[in-house]
Amino acid sequence: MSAPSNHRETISSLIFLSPFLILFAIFLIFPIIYSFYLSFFDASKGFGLSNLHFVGFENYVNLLGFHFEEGAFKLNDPAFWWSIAVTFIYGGLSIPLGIGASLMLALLLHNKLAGRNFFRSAFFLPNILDMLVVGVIWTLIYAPKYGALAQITTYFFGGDQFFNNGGMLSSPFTALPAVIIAMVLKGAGFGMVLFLAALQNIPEAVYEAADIDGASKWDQFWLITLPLLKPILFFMGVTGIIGSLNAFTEIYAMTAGGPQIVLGGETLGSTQVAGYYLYKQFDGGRHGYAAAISYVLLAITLLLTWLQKKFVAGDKA
Amino acid sequence: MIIKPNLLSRLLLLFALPLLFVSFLTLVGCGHREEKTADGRIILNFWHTYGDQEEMILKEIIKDWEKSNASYTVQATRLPFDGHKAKLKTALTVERGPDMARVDWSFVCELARKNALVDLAALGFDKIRDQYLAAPLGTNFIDGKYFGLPDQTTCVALFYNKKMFREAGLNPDAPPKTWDEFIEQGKKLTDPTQGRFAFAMDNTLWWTLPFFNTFGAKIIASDGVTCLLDSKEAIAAMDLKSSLYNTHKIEAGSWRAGSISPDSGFVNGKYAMIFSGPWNLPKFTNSGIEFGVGLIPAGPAGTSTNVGGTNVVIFNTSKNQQACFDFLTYFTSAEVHARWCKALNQIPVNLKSYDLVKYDDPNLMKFLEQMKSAVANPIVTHSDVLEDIINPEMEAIMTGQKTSMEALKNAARKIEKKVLRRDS
Repeated sequence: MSAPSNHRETISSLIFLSPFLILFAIFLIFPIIYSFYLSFFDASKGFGLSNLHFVGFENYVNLLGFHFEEGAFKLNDPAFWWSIAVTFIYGGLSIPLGIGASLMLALLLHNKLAGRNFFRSAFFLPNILDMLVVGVIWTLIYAPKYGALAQITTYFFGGDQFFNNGGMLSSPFTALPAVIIAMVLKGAGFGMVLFLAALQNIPEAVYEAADIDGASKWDQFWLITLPLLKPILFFMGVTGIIGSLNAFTEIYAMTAGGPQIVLGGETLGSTQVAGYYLYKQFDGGRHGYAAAISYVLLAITLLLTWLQKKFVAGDKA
Repeated sequence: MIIKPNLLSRLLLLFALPLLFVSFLTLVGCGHREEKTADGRIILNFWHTYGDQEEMILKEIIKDWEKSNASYTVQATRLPFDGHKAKLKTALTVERGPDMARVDWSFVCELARKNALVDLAALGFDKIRDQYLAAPLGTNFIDGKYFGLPDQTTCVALFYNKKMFREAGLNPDAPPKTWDEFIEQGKKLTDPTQGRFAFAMDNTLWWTLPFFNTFGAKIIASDGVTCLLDSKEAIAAMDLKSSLYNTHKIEAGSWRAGSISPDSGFVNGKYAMIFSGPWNLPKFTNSGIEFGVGLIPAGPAGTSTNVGGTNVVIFNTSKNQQACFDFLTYFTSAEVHARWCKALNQIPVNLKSYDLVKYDDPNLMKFLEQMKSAVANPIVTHSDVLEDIINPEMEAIMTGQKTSMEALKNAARKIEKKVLRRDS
């Protein structure tokens, strides 16, 4: 194809793409750029965004910096660093558990089981439900006294036990694991579909050859199945990290950042992930500060994705 | 590649749709303008959060007002109460707010300090100001000016289950009058093995104000920049609240996530006493539960309560501020407001209405009595931030992770830094 024809094709492609591009620019590109601009301004004195006060890097300093007080260095915003720590714990537990659960379901349903299509649909079903709905359902499951978990455990162990007295969401030590369990079970169906698709693409001949060479089923899983699933593992890792750093709805629906835990004299929300902390700042009218948090989270996401690509996925992923 | 004519028309259509959409958004986002009906009457937009029954009466009142103000029409738009702050903030950001609105009392300060509201003095508010009840009127008084009229007021009082009182050998017509009596009777009413507790409560600031107020504790000093949460009165009030759950074990722990709420537990006969407001009188009556209403138990400063409710405000973007003020004055005038309160069983905010409404319900009468000892709530621009600071600290007290002194001292300093200095 000649150069002018290539040029014409590019123009016509752009024309066809333009309806999407216009909306994309208005609703995504512009807010991304504008929020970066906003991160250098203080909270608005009015409701409009025309009366902003430029503060330079003050929001970033207040967020990431520290100060000297009462003979010691103290973080300017310990709640933010705590929210990052909670986010890492949340991601550190939910991503491997989510991948493990998805893989286990995929391996089980890759076999020729009776009714496997039913089970595939059943396990995928929670994934189509809205996060808020799933959060509310799990809140009811965990609820003390009348919740499903409390009723079952009361039947076996009597009424004076943890699940009936306070429940998973009432303790700062069990609230985050409770959210993680709910989200892992919600997302496992989606991961299962990805793994199933990848498993079906592995030629049977590879396993037959391994059988002939005397490889056990365990060896076959470690040395054949898992390496061939690497792109899916990478994809789930990256989307899991992004999901953890953006986690908000599940916390909003289930715990509102609580219950509280006291660490070093500071009262902190045991499930206050970074996404929820950002929302609270925005909700409190600190738009510039919230925008600065979102850019710090973006930087962390990019860094983690790059590290994962470099050390986990290898160059080909 | 050559673009064919039929392809061109499709292309235009593809372009036209998003462009039309963008144009629509642009038009919607344009500045505030005066709207008129087809017959030339000026439209006054009124955003409110009333319920079904209230909305019906509002429409009747609007019709009556329009009879003597034929050049105007009030267009009432209903918003969900839970989302009204966010909706109004968004509308004001793009300069598409209404002429007037009914808002929660805690929102008036933020609206006023962000220059969204009209100072009512210029419209003649001084002439009618004295007719309103002091506590709800006070929620409109920001930096020496009045920015709204109270249209509805509430407070909390003590609801108690008469049947449970009788079963515990207590007089069903004598709810506790002091905190000491409350604890003493509470022990008789509590049976954890049956899941029955004397009391259930919420643990947010607004619901804790009755505790603070009965101890005479103030939240904010008159200088506006000092938080008094670490005063000995406030600490004593919080100690008492915490002891109900931790020491005396007469409180159900209903403030914990996922627990049975005070309202639900009260209706189901699990909780003998709760704090609640007049809005629950119809619900509890319909549930068939045998209940009564008493005053909040007295502390060192006597009985007292908080103030809830809503105010009506006029936005400074309105082109018809005087007409809006005239309507709202009519809406909250003695006769009209008496009619409203009688029909809806509500506490009047207009003092002159008290003489015009005769209530039959002794429980509602108890709220009228409780209202007399109500103490004005702390007024700050960012009430949400105030709650976000205090509520976690109160939870730390209730769960025994901090003493009242440690937690309230910490909260006081944070409030000074993040709320009060930001306001000043």
